[in-house]
Amino acid sequence: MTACGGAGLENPLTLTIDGRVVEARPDAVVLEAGLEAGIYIPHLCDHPDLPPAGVCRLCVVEIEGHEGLTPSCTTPVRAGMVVRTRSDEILAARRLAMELLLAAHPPECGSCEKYLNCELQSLKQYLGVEESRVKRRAKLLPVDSRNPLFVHDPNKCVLCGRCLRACWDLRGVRVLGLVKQQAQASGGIQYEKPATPNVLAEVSVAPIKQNRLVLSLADAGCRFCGACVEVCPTGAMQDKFGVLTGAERKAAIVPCKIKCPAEIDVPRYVRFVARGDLASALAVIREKVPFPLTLGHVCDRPCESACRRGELNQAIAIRELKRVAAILGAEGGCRGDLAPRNESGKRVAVVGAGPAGLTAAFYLRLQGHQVTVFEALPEPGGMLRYGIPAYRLPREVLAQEIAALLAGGVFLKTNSRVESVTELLTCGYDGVVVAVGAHRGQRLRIPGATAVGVFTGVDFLRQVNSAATVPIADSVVVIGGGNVALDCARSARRLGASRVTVACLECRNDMPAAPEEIEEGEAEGVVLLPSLTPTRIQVDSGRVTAVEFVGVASFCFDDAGQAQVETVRDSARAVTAGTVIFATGQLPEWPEEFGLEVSDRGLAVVDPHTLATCREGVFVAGDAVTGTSSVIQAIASGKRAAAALDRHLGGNGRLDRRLAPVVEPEPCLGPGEGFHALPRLDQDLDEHSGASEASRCLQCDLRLKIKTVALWGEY
Amino acid sequence: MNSPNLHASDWLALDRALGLKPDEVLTVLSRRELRSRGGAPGVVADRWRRCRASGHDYPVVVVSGVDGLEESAAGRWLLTHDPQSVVEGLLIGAYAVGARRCFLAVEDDCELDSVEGLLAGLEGGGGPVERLARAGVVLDLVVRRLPRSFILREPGALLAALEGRQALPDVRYCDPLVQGWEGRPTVLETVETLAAVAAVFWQEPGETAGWAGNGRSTSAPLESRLLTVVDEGRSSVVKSVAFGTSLAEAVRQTIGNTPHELGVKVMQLGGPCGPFLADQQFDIPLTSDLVERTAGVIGAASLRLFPGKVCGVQLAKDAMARLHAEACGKCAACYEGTRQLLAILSDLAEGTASADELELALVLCRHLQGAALCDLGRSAPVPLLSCRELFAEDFASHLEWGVCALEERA
Repeated sequence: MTACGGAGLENPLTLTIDGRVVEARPDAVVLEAGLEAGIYIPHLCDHPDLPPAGVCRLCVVEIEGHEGLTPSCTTPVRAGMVVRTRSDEILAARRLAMELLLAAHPPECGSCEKYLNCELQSLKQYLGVEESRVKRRAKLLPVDSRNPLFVHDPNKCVLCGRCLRACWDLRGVRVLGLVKQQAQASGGIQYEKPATPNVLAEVSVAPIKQNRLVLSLADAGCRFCGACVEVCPTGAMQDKFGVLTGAERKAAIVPCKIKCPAEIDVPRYVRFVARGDLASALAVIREKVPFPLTLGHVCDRPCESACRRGELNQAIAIRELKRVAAILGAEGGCRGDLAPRNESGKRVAVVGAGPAGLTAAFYLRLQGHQVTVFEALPEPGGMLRYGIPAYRLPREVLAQEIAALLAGGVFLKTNSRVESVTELLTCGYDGVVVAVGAHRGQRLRIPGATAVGVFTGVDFLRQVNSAATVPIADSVVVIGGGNVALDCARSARRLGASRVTVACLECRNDMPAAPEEIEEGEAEGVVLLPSLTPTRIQVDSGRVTAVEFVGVASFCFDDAGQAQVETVRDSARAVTAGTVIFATGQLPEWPEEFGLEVSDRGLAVVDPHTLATCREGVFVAGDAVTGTSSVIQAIASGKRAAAALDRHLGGNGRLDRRLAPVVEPEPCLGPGEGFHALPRLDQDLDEHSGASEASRCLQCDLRLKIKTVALWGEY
Repeated sequence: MNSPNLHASDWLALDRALGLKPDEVLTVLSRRELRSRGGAPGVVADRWRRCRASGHDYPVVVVSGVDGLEESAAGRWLLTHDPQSVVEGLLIGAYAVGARRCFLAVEDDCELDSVEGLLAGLEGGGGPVERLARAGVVLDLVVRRLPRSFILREPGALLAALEGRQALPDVRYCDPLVQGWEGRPTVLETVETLAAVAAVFWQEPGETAGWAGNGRSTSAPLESRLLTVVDEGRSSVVKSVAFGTSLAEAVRQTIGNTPHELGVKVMQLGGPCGPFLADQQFDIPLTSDLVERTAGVIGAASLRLFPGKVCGVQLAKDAMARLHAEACGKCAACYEGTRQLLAILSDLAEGTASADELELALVLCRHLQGAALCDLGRSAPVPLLSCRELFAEDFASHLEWGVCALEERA
């Protein structure tokens, strides 16, 4: 079947349905002709994306000149055809067909997850089938919830065959089949066809391979695309996450894209990588963010944590694919023109040249404004430059991407600390984005916290990254369990400290740092001491000598962000340390008289949606709003502030541009033998291994292309 | 079985056909009014002409040697006893419709030595393949073994199986002559029909010889049908029976005794979907489409004998149980309909059914006839309805008294 709107049909033919003359496409079937003309004909097995099956018999109609009732889903239209969709005979046949469909379907809808989202339930109401003449039974087949993504309850299946056609005809994966199963008293199941056909066997949908039943979808070669779940008209095939609607549903189906703060279209660029079109993959990324390669190195990849493939075996290496696309896709220049289309004549100032500030500057420039970025430090990059160590983000990468970004006509003034927003506004700037970051490290309030040899993480990393010689002792204790703590510890090792310890409140598995950071840190000799809280820093003649800890039983953060710790009795211990680094959070450093409202916690007070402050034309982005966060969050925040400021300045606030070609994805995936077990490739990817890795993608977004069937209430 | 020792001259029918133009081949078949034996009924040449008329470059010929039942063995019998006629008929068909691809579908336990011997001989110098090639037909012939299953008698299910799908009926094959295997126009014939095609060309005009055993010299295949007779407790016997022969006489010719002599009062014609016949119907003459007219395309040319006294309700129930066990589950009308009918018949056999239930059974029968996806479901009511007519007394007794009239009589 092909999709077609009601208007502008090519060579339509006319037929009469229920006395109404309607136009239809010549290749339409009677059911489509009726539905497109707004005449509801009940149907269950038919689906607009699947070939017709003609098995449910709910769509039967009378056609003049045809004997008996004809299924409208398999009958092509003919010019002059006269169709009746309603008569006592038709209704009786539909009701009986429905009674047969429901004979083994659980009678109670109320306890089903699909309640009120169920086509079968809707049809039951439409046909008024409450009482049943046929004998009802329960199939008593076991529910299959062994795979991590879907639940298959054959007891709710009415054998409409949509899932089979989705699997075979739409996706070409060919793993679902009809199998006769013998329900046994024990509730177990006997899979072989019995030698003497047992009349009490039940037919159900099950994974098959070469026409033989196999134990699991994975064994059968399933690609876990979810098309079967998408087309199931009842509760037989469901997502493990349950039945969701609207935006929640989209978010659950394609979580990688929704979880990205910058809303990068992950499935789309992964698909380009799989096709070997890395230039287009890069273009997809650049439609949303200006730092593809930097993100390819240091993104904290919320997409990967959400990746549905991760539930199957291992998440797609999305960040590595981004890196491959950013490097190889840029060879020969980037695709797509990212230059201002016209000049607005407005001047804007951006305070801070970190990821948030630079992103805001980039997009404001694209919208045609004159942008000046003020940076207090000698080099641009903010935390990318002064927080993240060079071993994680090579300086050339950063320099190259910042240079490309500034090349669009953004003015950068380094070593220029802005002391007051008011001053900027009086200097003739029409708008300001404040992205000063969070550069003031926090120390715990324990004795000795200000002694010589005690640093905050942010100060320590800034010194390290400024290539200054940092006076560091042989034994270093880092307090904190996040990425900053690991950055400090690993940097300390690189500076020559032989005994580096990371102590944190969290237990090992709950440490907020990225797992690979922890693993690599340990491999470099960093010692982890989880579930500890420092009580005192021992100081001898003005210098740090050790840190005293007690064990943590549990802890939580109160509303003010202070840790409330329950300690373990008699668990005090001391760790020798010549240097102590607090990696326990950072806050913005606001100049006095800066002119913006700041909360008790030291964060800027803004409108959560537009990031606008109480000062007209002044917006705040990045860590200054949220406290320490991720690079991708900062970029998303900078973009949002830029959009809001652009609108404030009379622009349309639409920052995204189409850079990559629009390619309709191929709905047919083909057989997936061994697909479920393909291992993640994330080391030194090149074009080919990158394509292999990208081919592991479940392509969850294809599901959103499947049309939903309109229920009778909508006609 | 030894491979038949073949000489070039053994491909007489094929040679004669290749001496004609494809249209002339069809004309010969039309003139003889050759009708199909099993599968889609009708005049063979008419169907082949429709396929040719599609103008498609690659029509397909599918030959079904699938019996689908333990008891019906015509396909297996022919493939072991006269494989050459089958292969010749197949090649003539391919030539006539211009096919590039042929399938020979057989059951996985079918004795194929002789067919394989033949196929090996096809390729040799001067062999049929070379002769076909000289006639401009490059042919790809595939023998496909399929597990025995009743539903494979259904043309759509067979085509699906040949495409590597599950053997299930499918509306996509509602007219195989236009859209069959992989969407190509497809001629689907039984081995018996194709053997008859070969016989048309093999016989001298006016000659009426046919098959018997491994030779090519006996009874008239053009005017006969291979009939399987299934006698309870004994193995099935296949015999070529001339059209016009009464069913009672057909049984005698096949197994040596008339039903009367065997004490058989009831027979089932046409396999699991066919009607039950009482002794007054045993003189019905065999015709080319007797089976298909009563049991649909899924019907088999078989007679199942039920000796002694039988209860009509029990017969109908057992027949329905068999059909439900074969129902593939693709359409609810058939799968659920046969199950409901079986439940009602079981209640009736137990003596617990109500008149309402029996009324519902008739409603379900009508529904099945109109709504089932394939002939298995559409013909499923046939055994029940025939029983109800023949054994009205049994049905009434089970309904009213809850016991069998047979027991009453005893």
